[in-house]
Amino acid sequence: MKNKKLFRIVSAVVLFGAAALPSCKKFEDIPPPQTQAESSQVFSSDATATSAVVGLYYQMIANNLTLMNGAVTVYTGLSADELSNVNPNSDYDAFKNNAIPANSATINSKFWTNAYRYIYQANAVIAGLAASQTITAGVKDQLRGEMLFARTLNYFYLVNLYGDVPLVLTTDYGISGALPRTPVVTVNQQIVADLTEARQLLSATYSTATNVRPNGMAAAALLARVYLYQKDWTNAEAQATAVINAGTYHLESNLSQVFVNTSAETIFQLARPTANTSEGSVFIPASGSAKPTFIITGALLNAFETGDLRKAAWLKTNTTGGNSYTYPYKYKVRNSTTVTENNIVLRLAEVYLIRAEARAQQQDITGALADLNIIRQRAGLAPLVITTQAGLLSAVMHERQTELFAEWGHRWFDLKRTGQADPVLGAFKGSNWQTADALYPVPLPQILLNPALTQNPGY
Amino acid sequence: MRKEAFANDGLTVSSTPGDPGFAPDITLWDTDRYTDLKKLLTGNTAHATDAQATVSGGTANTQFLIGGGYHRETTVYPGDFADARASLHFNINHTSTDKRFSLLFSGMYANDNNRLPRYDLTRYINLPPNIRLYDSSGKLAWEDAGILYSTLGNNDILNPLSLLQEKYKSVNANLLGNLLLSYKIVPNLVFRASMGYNTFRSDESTTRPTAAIDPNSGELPSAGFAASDNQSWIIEPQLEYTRVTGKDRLSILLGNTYQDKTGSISAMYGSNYNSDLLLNSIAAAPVITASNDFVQYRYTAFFGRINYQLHDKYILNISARRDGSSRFASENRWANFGAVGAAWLFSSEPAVKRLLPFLSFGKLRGSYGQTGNDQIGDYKFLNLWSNTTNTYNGLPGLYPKALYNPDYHWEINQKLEGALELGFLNDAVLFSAAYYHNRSSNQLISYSLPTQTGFFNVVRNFPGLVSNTGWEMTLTTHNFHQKNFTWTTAFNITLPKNKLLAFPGLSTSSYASRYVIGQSLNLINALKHTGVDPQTGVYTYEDKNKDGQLTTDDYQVQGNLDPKFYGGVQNNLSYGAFELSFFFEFRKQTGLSYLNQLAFYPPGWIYNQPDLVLNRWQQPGNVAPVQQYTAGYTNAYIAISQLRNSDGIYMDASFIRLKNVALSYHLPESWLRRYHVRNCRIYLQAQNLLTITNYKGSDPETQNFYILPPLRSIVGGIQFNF
Repeated sequence: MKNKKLFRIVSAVVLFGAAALPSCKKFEDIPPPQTQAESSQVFSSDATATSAVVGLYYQMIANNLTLMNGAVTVYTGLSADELSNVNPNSDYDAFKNNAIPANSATINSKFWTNAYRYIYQANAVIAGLAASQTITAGVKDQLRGEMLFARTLNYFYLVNLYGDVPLVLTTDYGISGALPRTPVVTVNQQIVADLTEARQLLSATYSTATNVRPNGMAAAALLARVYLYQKDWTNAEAQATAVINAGTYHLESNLSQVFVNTSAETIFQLARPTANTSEGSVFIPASGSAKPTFIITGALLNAFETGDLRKAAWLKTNTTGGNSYTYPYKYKVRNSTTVTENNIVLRLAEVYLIRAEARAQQQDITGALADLNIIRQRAGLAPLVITTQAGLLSAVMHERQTELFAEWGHRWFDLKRTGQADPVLGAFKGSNWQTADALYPVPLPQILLNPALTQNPGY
Repeated sequence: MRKEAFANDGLTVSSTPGDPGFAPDITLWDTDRYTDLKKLLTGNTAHATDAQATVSGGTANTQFLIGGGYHRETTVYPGDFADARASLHFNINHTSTDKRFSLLFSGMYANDNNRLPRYDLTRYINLPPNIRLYDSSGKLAWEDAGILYSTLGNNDILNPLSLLQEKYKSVNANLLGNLLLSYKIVPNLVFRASMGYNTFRSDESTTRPTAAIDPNSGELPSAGFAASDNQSWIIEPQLEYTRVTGKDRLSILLGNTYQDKTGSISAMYGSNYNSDLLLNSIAAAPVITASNDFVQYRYTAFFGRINYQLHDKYILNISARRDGSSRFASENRWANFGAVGAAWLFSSEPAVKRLLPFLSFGKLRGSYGQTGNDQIGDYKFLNLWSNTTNTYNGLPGLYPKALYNPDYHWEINQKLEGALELGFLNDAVLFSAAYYHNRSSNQLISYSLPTQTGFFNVVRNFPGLVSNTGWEMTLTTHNFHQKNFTWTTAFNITLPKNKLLAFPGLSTSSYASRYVIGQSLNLINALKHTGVDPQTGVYTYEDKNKDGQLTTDDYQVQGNLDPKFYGGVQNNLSYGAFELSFFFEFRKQTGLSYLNQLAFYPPGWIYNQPDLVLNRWQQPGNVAPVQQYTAGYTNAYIAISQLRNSDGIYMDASFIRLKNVALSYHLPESWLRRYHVRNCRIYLQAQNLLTITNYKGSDPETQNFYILPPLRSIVGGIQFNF
C-alpha cells in the first residue's frame, strides 16, 4: 500500500516534469517572421539591398497628391499665381488664399510627414549599406549615391517650403525626435555635400534601361538647381554645362513628346508599374465636357506670347455651361493601366534655363541668350535680342514661367528666391497676401510633439 | 445661414465658378429641395431575432448538455443589411466511480454571416440638405447643375447612398474546445491539466461596383478578398497538495502554462474590372495585388501558490510566477511577479458575535501584488522590412515597416488593495468598500513621436510613473422578502483618480504639451476659451504670456476628462408570477461638446448644422455661445479652428441613463402541465429608454454627432422548459 502511494507520487512528478520539459528547449523562442525581413538580411546581398533602394522610389509615388507625386505642383501652384480651383474646397482654398491653418492636414501629412518618412528610409539604407560586409563594393557605391540623391531631393523641397527644418541624418528616434529646426544655410550645405558625393558615386550611365533611377547627371542637374537657388552662379553654370555636354539628353522637338516616358530630355523620372502620373489624373477632367478641378490663372494664360506653341500643346480648354476652363495638359493620360507617362522630376529644358540665368548673372550675355533662345525656338518663338543684364534676367524668369509652369512648384520657388513674391503676388492676391505667406506653417501637431520646434512667423 | 456667412465675410453670393462668393449649393441647386438625411440614413428601425435551445441529461457519473442558438440583427441604415450568427455548444462531464478521476469536455462552434455596411452613415448627416440624391433618370446623382460633389467641401461631399452600393460580406467560423482532466493521485494530491484549442477562420470580400463609383472619377470597379486563420492552444498542468487538519486548511499549488497563437492572413485586391459582371472573381481583374502575413506568439509561465486558512478566520495567500513571452528581445523575455494577500473574517470571532449581534458577516482583506503585460503585438523589437505593394521598374521593393526598439521589456504594475465587507441582519444588507492604489512606471505603449523620426510612434515602456487610486463601494439591500413579493436593490459606485507622479525629461519629450506632473493623464491642457467677442463676433482665447500670439506657451491646465464618479443602481422586484428589473447607470464627467465638431465644419460652410448653432453672434453687441457664421478663410475661420486647441470644446457630459428594463411573466404551471411544458416565461426587455442629462447636442456617451449613438431597443421573447 505504501509502495503504491509512493509510486503514484513519483509518477505524478515524472508526468509533471515531462509536461514542463519543452521549457528546456526554450518554448518561448519563435522563428523570425516569414513575410518580413530583418534589416541585417536585407543588407546581406546586392539584390535585396537594391530592393530597399527601389522600394523608396516606389513609396515616393505610391499615392497620388503626395510630396513627390504631384502635391508640390498642385499646392504651390495654388499658393503662387499659376492654378486656381474651380469649386469651393476648403483644402485648396486655404492654399489659394494663402491662409493655411497651422493644423492643416495637407501641410502635416502630405508634405512634412511624407518627406521625413522617405528620409528615414534613405537614412536606413545608408546605415544598412555601411554596416554590410557582403555587398559588392561597386553596388554599395551606386546604392549609397542613389540614396544620397533621394534624401537631398526631399530636403530640397522641405527647405524651400518651410525654411529651417530639422536635419535628420540618423534612424535613431532618440536623437531625431528631439532635433530643433536646422538653419537653411546648414541644410543647404548638407544638400551640396550629399549631391557632390552622389555625383562622384553614381556612374554617368543609368543602372537601368530607362532613367527611373538617378545617375551622376541627375545629381549634377539637381546640384545646378541648388547652386542657382544659392546664387552660386559659377557652380550652377558648371553643373548645368556638365549635364548639357554629357550628350545623353536632347530637347524633344515635338512638344507633345516632352512628357512621355521615352522623352529624350528626361534626366530622372519616377515610374509606376500600372499607373500613369498623379498630375495627369488630377488635372485632366473626366470628359471633354466636364469641368476640371483646377484651371490655370489668367496671369499665366496671359504670360504666353502670341505664337507660343506650348499654349496649344501643354494647355487644354473645356467649355461647359457657357464657361471655358483652361487646364494644364503637359501630361495627357488621365487614367490607364497602360503606362506611357511617368512622373518627370528633372529634364533638360530646366538645365538650359538654369545656365541661361547663371550666365546672365555673370554678365555672359551672349551665352545666356543662346541658352534662352534654344528653349524659345523649340516653343516656336523668335529668338530674343537683349543687351542688358536686367532685361535678360527678366526674360529668363518669363521663360521659366511658361516653360516650367505647373511642374514641381518652379514658379512658387522662383518668385521667392528672386524676391518677386511680394510685388507679384501682392498685386495678384490682393489683401490675402502677406510677406510671411512665403513660408508654409510648421505643422502644429509636430510642434505639439516636439517642443524644440518653432513656428514660422505669421501663423 | 450660408447667405449670412457670405455677408459676414463681405462677399456676395455668386453662381459663377471661381468667384470668391461662389456657392453652388444655394445659387445653382434647388433650394426648395429638402432631404432629412438623419432620418434617411439612420432613421430606420433595426430588428433582432434570437432563438436558443438546450438539451441536457445523463447518469450519476456522466452528464451532457447540447445547445444551439441563432441570432440575427439588422441596422438602422437604409437597405437590407444583416448579421446572422448560428452556434452549437456542448458539455460532457464524467466522474469515475471511485471519484478520483474526472473529465470535463466542452466545445463550441459558431458561424457568423455578416453583411453589415462598411461605413457608419451617421458621418454624413451634415451634408447639404438640398443635395440631389437621384438624377432625372432615377440613378444615383454625382453632380447637380454641373457641379461635381467630389469637388466641393473638403473632398468629403458625396452622395451618401452610393456608399450602400459597396457590398461587404464576411463569413466567420469559430471552433472552441476545452478539456479539463483531474486525477487524485493520493487523497492529498491532485493532478490537473487543462487544455484548450481555438480556431477562428474568416473569409471576407468587399466589392465596389460601378454604381458606387463617381462616373467622373475615371475609376473602375474593384473588389477585395481576404482569408484569415487564427489558431491557438493552451496547456496548463497543475499539481495541488491540500492538507486539512481540523479547521485549518493548507493548499500548495504548482503549475505551468504553455500557450501558442498563430495567425495568418492572405489578401487579394483586384481593380480595373471593366464591368460588374465577374466582380466576385479575382481572376477577372486586370490588375491584382496580393499580400499575406503570418504571426506567431508564444507564452509560457511557471507559477506557485500557497494558501493557508486558520480557524476559518484568518486567510493567507502567497503566490509567485515567472513569465516568458516571445514578444520581447531574448534578453528581456522573462519577468518575475509575486503577490501576497491576507484576510480576516472578524465576524467569526466570538467577541464580535457577542458585541455586534446584528453583524452577520464581516471581513477585512488586503493584498499587494504585481501583474505583467505583454500586449504589444508580435516582432516589434525587430528591425523589419516589408515588401512594397507593387514592383518598381520590375524589381521587388522593400520598405521599413516601423521604428523598432529592442530594449522594451515586461510592463509591471503594482497593485495595492484594502477592503471591508459587511453583512447586517442575516445579510439583508450587504456593504463593501475597497480602496485601491495601483502604480505603473513602465507601461508598454505606442509612444507618440514627431514624424521627423520617420514614423508616428514606437513601442516602448512609458517613462512616466502613473498612479491610479480610487474607492469602490457596493450596497445591496433586500428591501422586501415575502412569499409573494421580493424587492432587492443593488448600488455600486466608483470614484477613480489618475495622476502622473513623475516623468523624467517631460519638458523635452513628445508629451511636453500633453502632460503635467501631478495631473491626470487625461488632463485638458489647452488655450483658455474666453467666449465670443461681442464686438467682432469671433471666438477669443486668453494670451497667457501676452506675446500677442496664441501658441502652446499659452496652454493652461483646465481640469481633466476622468469621470469624477460612476456607478449604477439595479432593482429587482418580483410579485407572484411577475418579475421586473431595471438598471440605472450614472456618470459624472466632462466631455466633448457639440462645439468640437464645429471646428471641423464651421457654421456657414457648405455643411448642414445642428440647430444649436442658431444661437450665434449676428451683430455688434450680441452675446452668444456660437461665433458669427463664415464661409471661407477669414479671421472667423482662424478663430474657430483654434477652438480645438482650447477648453471651449468641453462641457459637462454627466448623465443618468435607464440602461435596462426587463419585465417577465411565468405562465401558471397548472395550465402548462396540460401541454407537457415545465416552465414558460414571457418577457419584454428594453435598453436605453431614458437619459437624463444637461449635455447639449448628441449623446453624452459618444459625444459626437457623426457617430451612431447607443440605440434604444425593445425586445420581446418567450422561453420554454420541457
